[in-house]
Amino acid sequence: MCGICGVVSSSRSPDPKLVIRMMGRLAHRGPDGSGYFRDRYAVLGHTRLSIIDTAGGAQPLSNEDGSLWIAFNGEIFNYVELAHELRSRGHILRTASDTEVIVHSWEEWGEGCFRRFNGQWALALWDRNERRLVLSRDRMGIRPLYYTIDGDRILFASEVKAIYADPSVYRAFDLVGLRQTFTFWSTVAPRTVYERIEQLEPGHVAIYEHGRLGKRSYWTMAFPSAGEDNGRSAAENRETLRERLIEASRLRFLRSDVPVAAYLSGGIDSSITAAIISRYTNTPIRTFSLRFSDAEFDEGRFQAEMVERLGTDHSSVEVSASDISGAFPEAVLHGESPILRAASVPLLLLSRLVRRSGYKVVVTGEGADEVLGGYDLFREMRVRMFMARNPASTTRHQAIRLLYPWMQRSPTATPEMARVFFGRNLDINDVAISHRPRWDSTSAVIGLMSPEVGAQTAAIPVVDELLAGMPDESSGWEPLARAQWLEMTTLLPGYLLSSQGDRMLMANSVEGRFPFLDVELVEFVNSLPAAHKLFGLDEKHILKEAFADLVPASIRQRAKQPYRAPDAGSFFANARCEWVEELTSKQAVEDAGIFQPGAVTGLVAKCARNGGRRMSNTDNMRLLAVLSTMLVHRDFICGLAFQQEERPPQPMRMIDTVEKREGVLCE
Amino acid sequence: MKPTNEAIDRFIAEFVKSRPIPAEGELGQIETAIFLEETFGFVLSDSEISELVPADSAEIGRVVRNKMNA
Repeated sequence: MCGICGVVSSSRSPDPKLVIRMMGRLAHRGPDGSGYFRDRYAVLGHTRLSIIDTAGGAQPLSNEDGSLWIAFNGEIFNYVELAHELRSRGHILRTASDTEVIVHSWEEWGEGCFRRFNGQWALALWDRNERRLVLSRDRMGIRPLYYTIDGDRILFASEVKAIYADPSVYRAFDLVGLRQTFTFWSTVAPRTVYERIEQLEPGHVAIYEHGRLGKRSYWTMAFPSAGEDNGRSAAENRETLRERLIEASRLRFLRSDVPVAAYLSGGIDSSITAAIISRYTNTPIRTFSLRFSDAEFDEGRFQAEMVERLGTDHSSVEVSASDISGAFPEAVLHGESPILRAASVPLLLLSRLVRRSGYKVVVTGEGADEVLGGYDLFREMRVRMFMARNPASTTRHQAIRLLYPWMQRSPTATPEMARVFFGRNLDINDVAISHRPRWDSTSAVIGLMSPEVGAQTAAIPVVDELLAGMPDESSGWEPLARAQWLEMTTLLPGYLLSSQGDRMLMANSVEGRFPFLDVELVEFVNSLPAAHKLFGLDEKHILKEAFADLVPASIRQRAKQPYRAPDAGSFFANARCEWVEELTSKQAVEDAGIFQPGAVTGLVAKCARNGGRRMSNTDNMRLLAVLSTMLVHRDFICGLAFQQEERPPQPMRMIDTVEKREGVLCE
Repeated sequence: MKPTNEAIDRFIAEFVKSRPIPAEGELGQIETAIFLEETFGFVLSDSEISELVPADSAEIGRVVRNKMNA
């Protein structure tokens, strides 16, 4: 896993010093070394976290005649099989790296190569003969890739902070991006919260040539029409799921030249991946967990059960409220986006423990809830559809009580409020019946915005635009499939794999690998009828059945408890938090111009009165939105986080065809 | 296409087995009703929901067959 960046111009020679600054801002993504390639029209930069072919895989890397160069972040897990096929077609590979396989795959198959890759990637290929830049991103959006087009040049990078290494790049919030975040909890690619900076959509390839950018999709999510099945028995489907998940986990655990660890959350997903590794590989497994001082969020009992069962060498980090408030600014600096809950922060602290324990790769259970229908949101949809079939029925409204059995302060504990929340907009034909209540309640954040910005933001029809972008055939899908499409288009790439995934891992130079997002597994599970995934209200039904022998009943049958962390309580439970006071002062809020100073003062006072406890879900979201947006404004829009440039990781390899220099620079 | 009797019984048996800690009383009936409506595509009346016996596979099967044949 690494950082990539670069500048390509259709007319003038890009400045290598800018790319060196960009590489410095990506040092955390690749502390093992760096390098750049330069010719008259392009500079490609790379910071390396060496995992595969640690001796020979330095980048940027080229084909045999130096006409095609690559900067690559990620892993192609089937590179061994692809290398074999490429050699049989006459290609000569000089290294044992997956990076070189990409270069030759592009030569052999062109854009079709991306459909052959099983992996997680963001990459840039520079074809010197055609003066063509190719950008590509993996199907699910595991690895990030941003770009901006500025006159006759394009700047691209793994993180926005690297693009902002160029002081001439325009800096402002993008109101559409903010509106999306304050509705869906994340932007929807290609949007970001930064005006004029876009991210490449998952499953897309972009080509920049002659000063123009064109984009195409090479993969889309596909689900069967309602009533269709794949013609196989339930037992056959369970067996196939089992085989694919075992293979996906083995690939991610074994295809590495450095040791790989695993997260163990106490839930079923990471328990299964850890159990697979334990059962189907010969390598001892090292596991890591998060604990919470606050018992409401802690899953230590279930983690301990799996640790004992698997006999793993285990470590955990216990996170308190003050740990979260202390590390929150760092999490936002790495996440580069407003966030509406604090759950990213403990993951930042967990990856720090992993790195300090000598590991730079972890396997996690991320993606299982989206792919296999595990979220409460999907159960909510079933309950809302049940209510919508006869809205006048008081019996049907009682179904709300089946939701959130795990929550101490469940929203269903107050029946009248729950009825209003889950009972609003009950339209069985609404393609967004699953998400509508959450989107509506999240939009309450906009009420805190300053009148002018708030009015402009509120008028942006982000929900209509998202729904208009659903595939034509989605009208024939089962409701669960539509809900999964919405979830995998918004929150999965935009928040879970980003603010809670890649960024919190790479902040500490740790690569995450996600077996549940293996393309063969995703395509197979997507082909199943909804009832295999959400059976009545039993979430991830087929997964529980397929792995009944590997995970104890106490974990398989426990009520689904989503990963959460204390929100407002983290900032007001103990001593006054200085940075919170500074950023929410009347002056600071007024200067930023995004929120109403009076409304922010009122919200902060309310939190302070309660020690951040017993706050409503909406107030928790509002507070987190204000704090994180103000941090993003300070760090990125004002640029205050980068007053001193970091040097790129050493050694730095340089290939400069303009000045005809090549070598390793060690300062 | 109507499911066969065998398919109905198989689905119901799997449903009953999948609920290790089933909701009791009215909630159990509602949970069962959600499952039946999603799986078999019919809509139950409030009185039909109130007559469901969630842990009794044979009884649930009878309700399903009645609805499918109605």
